[in-house]
Amino acid sequence: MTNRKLLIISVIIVLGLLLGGLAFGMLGPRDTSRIKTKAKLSSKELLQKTSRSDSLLLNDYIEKAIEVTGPIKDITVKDNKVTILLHGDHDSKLVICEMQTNQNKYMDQLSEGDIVNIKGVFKGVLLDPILLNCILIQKSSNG
Amino acid sequence: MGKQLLFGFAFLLLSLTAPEQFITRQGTVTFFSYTNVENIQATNNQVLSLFSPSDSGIAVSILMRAFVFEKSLMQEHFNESYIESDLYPQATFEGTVVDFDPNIQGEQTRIVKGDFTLKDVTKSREIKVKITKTDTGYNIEGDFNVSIKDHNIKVPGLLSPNIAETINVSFNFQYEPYEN
Repeated sequence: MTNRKLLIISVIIVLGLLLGGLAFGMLGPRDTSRIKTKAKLSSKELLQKTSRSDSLLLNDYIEKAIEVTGPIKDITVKDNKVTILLHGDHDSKLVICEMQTNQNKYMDQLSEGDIVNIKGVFKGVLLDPILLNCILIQKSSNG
Repeated sequence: MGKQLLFGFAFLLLSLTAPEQFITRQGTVTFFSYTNVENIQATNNQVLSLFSPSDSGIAVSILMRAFVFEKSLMQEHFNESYIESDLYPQATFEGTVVDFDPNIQGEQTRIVKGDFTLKDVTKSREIKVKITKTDTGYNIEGDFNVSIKDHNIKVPGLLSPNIAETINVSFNFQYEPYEN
């Protein structure tokens, strides 16, 4: 193989990688099921961390996927996006999980009080911790 | 950071002192950037706001990382390059509704005066809003424009044709009684 051919092949490979990377970035959000789970917590544990002195530890979770297990307080729908609100110890603080739209098909199976295990990307805390791009991992009926 | 702590204190004060407050944990804020090159839109459906009809106080807190874009690359640029969400995780608004009348049933159009803080830069704002009394609470909606220069949002020269100098921000908050 001549140097010229080698150069052309190298340029094609590099361009392919660049365009592939760009296309990947231009697509929608990453599929949460493919992201490594950083931590597994109950909704109670997550809410306790938001109000204790170790709340700064939550910064380690930002933009990472975490799994949260807890009872459903409410399910809301806005612009075809479903949000599941999970209870902790009391209702003044909740875990907010905005679901990926490909999860909508499972929402009919869920109701208030069900215990669910949800994986989502942790974005931070306002009054409540907020997770986006959530997927349903497991559901067990209440009682 | 200091302003965010102050806002947190104001938010707490509003929630503790007002006789009846209304809350939304899932307010919607959408921004639009229109240019000849491309239109960019992002929506945040998890905005926190408290409204106190008795003193017309309103407080809003927006987690910048919770804006969702159509394309993930735009979201990455927004958080890492323009807003620097690690350093400035929240935008806030704190103000009062001028001449708000809690006894009016249905709609009233009013001006909200207050301070909008983004990237630690606070600007006074007067925003026209439509307030609707509902069966269980209030709905407040409106929009305003934000100049990116006002808030030290720097766009690299190469990308400047893609990002508008003035961004339109619209919001819709559906408040329910706050049981804290």
